[in-house]
Amino acid sequence: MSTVAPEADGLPGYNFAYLDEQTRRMIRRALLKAVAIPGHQVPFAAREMPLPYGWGTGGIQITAALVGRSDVLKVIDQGADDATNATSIRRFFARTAGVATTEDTSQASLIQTRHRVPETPLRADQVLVYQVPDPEPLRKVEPRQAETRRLHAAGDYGLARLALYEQVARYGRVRQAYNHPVLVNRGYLASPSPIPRFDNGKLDDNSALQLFGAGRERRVYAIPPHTRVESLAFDDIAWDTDANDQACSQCGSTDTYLDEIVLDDAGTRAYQCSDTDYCGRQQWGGVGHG
Amino acid sequence: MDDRPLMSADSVTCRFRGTTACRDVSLDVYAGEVLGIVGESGAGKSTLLHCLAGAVQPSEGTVTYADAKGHDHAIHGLSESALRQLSRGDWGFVHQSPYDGLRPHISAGGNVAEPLLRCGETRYASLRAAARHWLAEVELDPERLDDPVRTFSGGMQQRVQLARNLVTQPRLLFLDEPTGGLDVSVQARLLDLIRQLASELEVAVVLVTHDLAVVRLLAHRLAVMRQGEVVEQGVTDQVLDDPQAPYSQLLVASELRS
Ligand SMILES: Nc1ncnc2c1ncn2[C@@H]1O[C@H](COP(=O)(O)OP(=O)(O)OP(=O)(O)O)[C@@H](O)[C@H]1O
Ligand SMILES: [Mg+2]
Repeated sequence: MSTVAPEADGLPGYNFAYLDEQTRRMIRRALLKAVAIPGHQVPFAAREMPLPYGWGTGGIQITAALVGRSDVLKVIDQGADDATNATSIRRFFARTAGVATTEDTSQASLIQTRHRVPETPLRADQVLVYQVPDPEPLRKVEPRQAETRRLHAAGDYGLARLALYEQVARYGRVRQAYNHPVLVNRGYLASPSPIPRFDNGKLDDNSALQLFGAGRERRVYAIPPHTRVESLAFDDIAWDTDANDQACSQCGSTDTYLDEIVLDDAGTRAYQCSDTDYCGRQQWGGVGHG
Repeated sequence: MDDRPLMSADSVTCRFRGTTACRDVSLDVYAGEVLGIVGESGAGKSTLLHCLAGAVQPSEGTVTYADAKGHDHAIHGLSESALRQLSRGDWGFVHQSPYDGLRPHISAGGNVAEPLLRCGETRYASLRAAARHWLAEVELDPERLDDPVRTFSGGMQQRVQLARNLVTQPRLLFLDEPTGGLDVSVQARLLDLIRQLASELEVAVVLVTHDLAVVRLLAHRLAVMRQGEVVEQGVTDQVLDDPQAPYSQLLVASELRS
């Protein structure tokens, strides 16, 4: 993030990064509040964006509110920089803000993501912005919004654990592969967005600031750097990371999140890192891997 | 029985826009007793029960609850969280319709475990053990532990509701027509179970019904309601054998005729 007011050297009345300065300020105020109350959903007056809901309008508004001229932006969709959604968002900011973009996680100051946390560990000078389709982790167990607010206020997450109880009782384990709710700073229960359960551990004690934006629901929330983040679970059942025992067919990594790819009609499968930047660096960057 | 009441209603009046659902009701509930509330449809029984349980705010009057440490709580003056704590830990509420008191798509075990989860239990094994234990206590087949309760019969659903309300070992249980809408034989067995559990667990029960046979079987003491007012209260046998208020006399006479 640039500390220089981004409009300082722009034309008066000209909007940097699509949103007008008032809106950017409003969103930043909501984000400050979100950082002050980790995991708590803060309402904000979401704007219409030139993208339909479900295409990351919440994340885009956070990025637009934070991005400065000196930022280097990376956008990923399911771990890939070249997916349609990622490409169009990256192009959008290149055009409206003129900022530099990169696919290299370590070069980026601002990373907007859908459904993944990069494999490369993040640093204190980086911000990760998640696109969130539904910010309410209790929606499945309690559809009434007034009631979910009451449950959050009381820290009453028994109902959320009831959903886990049902999974363990019926299937012998927690089956939720994506969007497994997390307790932030021992306080609020939050949706990690539909990241695979494999990634939940990366939210804990992360050096980067993590911000979450839901456009349709008009909510932002945050996990400040080095915050304790625990996946909702039972004390007597070990957390199953959902990792499989395959290796990436491209780079050989065994400790990354792998996509399963069906190669032919006979059902031959291959596994490949979902984080394309990381995978490429493992192959060509000369970094040893095991 | 203790000499100090567990719960006392003092001049409770509850109005809804035009109607006065209950008027100037005072009564006591003692530890370990079953208090029956009888009256015809619309007499205000359910309204009174909800006032006692803190779910409905009376227009006038107070309800006082003495907790296990002997501290009194004016329940309608409590904060939302303090009231929730009492109603979760110390009380149970069994509704007439199982669908008001159960989650139909959740398993029987999950329905029974939920109050413990909401009291902060985070160990799966403890939840399982409690669910198993309380389903056995209400005489349900342990094989059905993981079946969703919507697949259960009405009588079985009421048993699950009972188990769910006993799992936190409450001191006070509110029952609103728990056997309404059930076959007579199913009703009889359920009532028997309630009587047996209430005495075994030494839980106080406030039981609402319009059926005198039910209070005859279960209630130590009785309050007769008519048009929102308690017209007579006392020891069940006394009230039923020698009713004083004209309405109670009518009620007893009509029971004998039917
Ligand atoms: N939420 C409410 N809003 C308006 N009126 C109500 C409400 N609840 C109850 N009443 C009215 O208060 C009166 C007493 O109702 P209540 O349900 O307490 O009677 P009851 O004795 O439980 O009857 P039943 O045996 O049919 O269940 C009725 O006239 C009813 O219509
Ligand atoms: Mg009623």
